[in-house]
Amino acid sequence: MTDCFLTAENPEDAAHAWAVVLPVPFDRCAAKAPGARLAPAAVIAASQQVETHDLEAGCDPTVRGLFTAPPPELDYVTEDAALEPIGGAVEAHVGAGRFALLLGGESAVLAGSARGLARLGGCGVVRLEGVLGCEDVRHGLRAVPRTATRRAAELLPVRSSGWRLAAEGARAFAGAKDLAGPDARRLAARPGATLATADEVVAGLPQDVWLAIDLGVLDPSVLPMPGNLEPGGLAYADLTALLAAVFASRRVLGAELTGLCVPAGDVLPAFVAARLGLRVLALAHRQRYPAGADG
Amino acid sequence: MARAREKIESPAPGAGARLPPRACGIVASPYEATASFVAGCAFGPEAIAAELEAAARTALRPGFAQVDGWTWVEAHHRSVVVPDVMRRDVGKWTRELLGAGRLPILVGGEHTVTAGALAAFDDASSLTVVQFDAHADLRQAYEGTPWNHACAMRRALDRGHPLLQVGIRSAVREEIDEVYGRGADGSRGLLVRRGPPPARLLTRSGLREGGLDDALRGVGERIYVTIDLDVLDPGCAPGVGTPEPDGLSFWELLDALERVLAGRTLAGADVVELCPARDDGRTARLAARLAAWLGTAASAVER
Repeated sequence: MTDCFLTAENPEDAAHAWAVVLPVPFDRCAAKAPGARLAPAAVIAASQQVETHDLEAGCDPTVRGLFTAPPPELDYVTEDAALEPIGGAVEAHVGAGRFALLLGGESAVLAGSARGLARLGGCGVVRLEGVLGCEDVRHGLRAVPRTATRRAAELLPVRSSGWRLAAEGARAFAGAKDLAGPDARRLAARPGATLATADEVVAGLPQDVWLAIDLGVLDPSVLPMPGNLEPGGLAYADLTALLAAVFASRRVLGAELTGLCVPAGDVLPAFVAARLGLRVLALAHRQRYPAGADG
Repeated sequence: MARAREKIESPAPGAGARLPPRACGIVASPYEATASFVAGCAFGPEAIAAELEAAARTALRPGFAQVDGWTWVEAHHRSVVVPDVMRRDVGKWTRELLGAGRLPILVGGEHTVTAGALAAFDDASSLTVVQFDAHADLRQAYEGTPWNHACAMRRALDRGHPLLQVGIRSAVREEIDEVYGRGADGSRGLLVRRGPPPARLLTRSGLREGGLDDALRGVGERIYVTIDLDVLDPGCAPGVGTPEPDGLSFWELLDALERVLAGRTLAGADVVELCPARDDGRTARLAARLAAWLGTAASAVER
């Protein structure tokens, strides 16, 4: 079994790839259920079943070289030790001009990637999440899923959309920072609904952005996994339409797919995440190589 | 549906003449040799048989599930994994049903079984295959065999059948290049190959954006419908071996089927890739409803 996302083998090294995939099995204090540490390997395994020509983006993002890096060494003794390897890897790959796709790991991964992005001079963060992650501290910890968006917002401009739950403290912080974008109800396509525009999702953000997707933004019918029980999440098509709109309006430096908890015996959640990873890479590929040629 | 699980012999020669002209026969093919992700579709026909009994008792709407008197034929044993044997046996029973004046509905098994049913039709160029599927299934070969379920529609093209593909959302570049021409990418929703044989591919987005009428332009009068259950969304049909997000809803599929059949003759059909190991019962019921719909309501679609 290969350790590569979407491909059978890596190019010689990351320098020979236009994009790098970084597995981040960060699992420290998930709000829902533990198990996010198993997600990167499960997504990579499922990706071997994904057909890689993205019909809707119109390209195969593996052709120009896709490099899957080994997971960073994570040390949970201190918050810094746990987050720094994530930030360092993002800084190295994005700084070298490569598109970076992180496969989490719990959604607190954003607290790490934001560090690396801030050191590169900063960019905006398009955050999509099921729960507005703007609490300050939870269980005495500052970098957990419920606080990750706030940690990023302390370093970078952030806009969070698609959420369908928000604690009072999180709302207050989001209001003070003006970072709350349209919620799930405004983003979900349904008869008679007034859809939020993509402009609202990226409002106030600079031209360069990082795309931070907590997979809990999807509806349980799309992504059935432990802890993702709250109704009213986005349909798959809602999310992919939103991604296309973000790529159309901003230069996306990289992305992260986090918050996946892999249930025993069900291949679907990891496969959905792998498909979404393909879509993100295909949209990024089309943005970088607009002529549409794969090779 | 009198006796679903046991093998029922084909009607005696001439018996078909006394049957209603659109009476239906089901050919069960529990064939599974190349499922590449989750195994178990060999048990699909058995699950559909059980649900057809229930579907026959509860009509979804008038004319939907009048399945009394249908013939159920088990084409081969579940242990058959040799494609030549499967194609021979499925082809033989499909021909028997056609000869008896019955509409053949094949239930799988993996998508490779479609090749067996199509072998029973002599004039391929006058029978358009309409495929509902998440995957293009156009590979020349996969994992060392041309009889892989990822090659099912390529084999139909090889026989000379015109092809319409609907709801496709997964493919590899080589198969699209080889069938639709280098550089065809699907981002506009519809791919067209002039042929021969001609082919069209309507993507999932293309269908959602109302592209079916365009795609149907030029499709012939006689059609064979093949439904890979993974065309449906895993939320309503989880019991498939290769689930793909962003599929059709049940009603969306029925609406599309009605539009495909309007003004055309259904010569045969199949429902394939049910994987009971991933199912909680709802996909088997849905597959049974589709089989019943194809066998009965299809003839009632306004022509």
